[in-house]
Amino acid sequence: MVKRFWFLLLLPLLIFSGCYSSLPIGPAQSSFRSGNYIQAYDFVESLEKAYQKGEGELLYNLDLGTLAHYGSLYEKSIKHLERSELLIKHLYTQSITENISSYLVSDNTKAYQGEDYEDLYLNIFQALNYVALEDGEAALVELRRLVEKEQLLKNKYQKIISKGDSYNKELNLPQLESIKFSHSAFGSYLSMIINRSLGYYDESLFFYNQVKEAFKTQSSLYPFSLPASLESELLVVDRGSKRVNFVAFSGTAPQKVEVVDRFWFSPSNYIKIALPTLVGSATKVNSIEILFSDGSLIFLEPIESIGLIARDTFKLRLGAITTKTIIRSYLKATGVAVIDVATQDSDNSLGLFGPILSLASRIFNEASEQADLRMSHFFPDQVWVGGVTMKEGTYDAKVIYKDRNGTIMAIDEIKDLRVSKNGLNLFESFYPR
Amino acid sequence: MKKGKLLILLLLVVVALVGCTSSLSVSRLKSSKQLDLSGNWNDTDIALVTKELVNSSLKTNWINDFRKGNRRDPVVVVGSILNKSSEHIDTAIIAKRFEMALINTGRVEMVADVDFRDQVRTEREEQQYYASEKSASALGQELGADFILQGAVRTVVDQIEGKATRTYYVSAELINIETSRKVWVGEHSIKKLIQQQRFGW
Repeated sequence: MVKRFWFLLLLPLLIFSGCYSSLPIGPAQSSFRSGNYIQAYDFVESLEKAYQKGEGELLYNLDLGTLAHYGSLYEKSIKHLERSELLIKHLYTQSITENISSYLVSDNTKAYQGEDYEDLYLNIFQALNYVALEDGEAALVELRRLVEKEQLLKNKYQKIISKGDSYNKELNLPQLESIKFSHSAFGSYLSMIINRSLGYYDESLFFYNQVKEAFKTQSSLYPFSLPASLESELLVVDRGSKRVNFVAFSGTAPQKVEVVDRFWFSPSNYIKIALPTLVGSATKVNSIEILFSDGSLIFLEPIESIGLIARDTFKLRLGAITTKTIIRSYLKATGVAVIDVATQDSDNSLGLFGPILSLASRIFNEASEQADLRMSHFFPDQVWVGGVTMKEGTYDAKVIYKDRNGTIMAIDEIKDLRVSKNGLNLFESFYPR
Repeated sequence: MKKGKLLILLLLVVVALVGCTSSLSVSRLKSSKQLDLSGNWNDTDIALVTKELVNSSLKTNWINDFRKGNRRDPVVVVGSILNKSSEHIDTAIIAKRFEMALINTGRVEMVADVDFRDQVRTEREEQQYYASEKSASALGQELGADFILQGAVRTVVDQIEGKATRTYYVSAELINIETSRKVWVGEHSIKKLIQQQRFGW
């Protein structure tokens, strides 16, 4: 009965607190899903103040950077992603005051530092921006930066796991789940084809082997076969012909949702645990084919699941978030219990304020304990690649996205696709479902 | 009353101080002053690298050897200094500094860089149509280069969370265009330790 009373009291608060940090991004997401990327970009740009207030400058730039890329606004995308990278670097230094308040209130009081996968894929998108601007050397700079970050993350994960395991061993707890991700096959694939186009064949061969290595050593993150076209990528082509490559993205990377548990330890007091969980249905695209104006047809094959990598790299972070959330929730519930004891004391030192304070502490506990759901909104879910040897010239192409029943979901028409002697000859397509 | 006046005075001082505060401040520095803000490649690195490489190239005897054999100054063209690093570095600055140092020796002649040559050629061709016959530059009179300068900037990064060493290897070489023989190869490296605190106020 008492439990019900508290729930009734807190119900309106629960309803309102759900709306607390939501960003009015719906119109941008629907424009994005219907392929109006520039419209989505403009809408996100108009939300600058709302982002600064809720999600932060980093997410504002990450969202704009990805949307600008899809909308072929490459210079703008470079600017936003450069800013994102700089912010991630600066946000490594955490504010002590923000940290303390994150232990007392919630993780939302801290500036968003970016997920590891966002930090990695922003360099891949930067590389693709430079490819679109025909600056292969600059694209390689971004891909080298990706390799450096991958190495740093590998060291970081090893350190966290070995530290965590030694604690767990002492406490007889199970060992931490290891992180499977070590390097991106798609990053290596891009390095391979750009190096090849620029005539750096040794480097190209190195990254060809790295693609194979990624599939071999991280099989749970790459649950598909190695793209068959890979074997033809480094072969010598006839004079007057060029190797042409295609990259297609489908779906949207997973998003965070809140999962809440309440543990009652007295009829009127409970611990609220609100944790972020990555959810999102994988892309519905099951096959992608490209039909050229000369009648030839090629199939693209999956090379990377960004969704799987996002989930894998989030695992360790979730462990740390869980520990912190439990500590914080206990502190808050203890605070409520202390006030209750003082109120029910025989000398009632709090007087009339006792019940009010008790109610306020419960409201604070319920309303403040919210999972940090901040995350970029427009990274894709799956990456597909393919390659074909073509005569130099200009073609039209149709990128056809199909579902598992073979039904056409979308057709992306690429007009005046120019296969040139000195160009990078790498083309891109995107379907966000 | 006194209290009121004091409060107004205090407020005026605060307003005056706030008025003087600006979020933007600019001050001129000596261009030789070493200032590292992000740990990235900067003007100090360019100065150090070019000085070392130019000195190294001038210490070797390639100029004298060429003059002895050909009874004229060698002609050099600046090729490409490739950026093979993980930073967006404008390597043209290194090439330009090199060019300046070689010209200033008074013993080397330079011809237009590969990147600018097309522009010069277009101008010369257009002069044939649009300039007076007397003033138009003649075709086929370009000075052929004897040597080409090439190079690359590479980086090696070793890092853990909050700490990194970043080493830049800048290499350059002069190649005899006729024989493909390398007459000089130089390299200079710069190593930096970059640290970032985990917590701050």
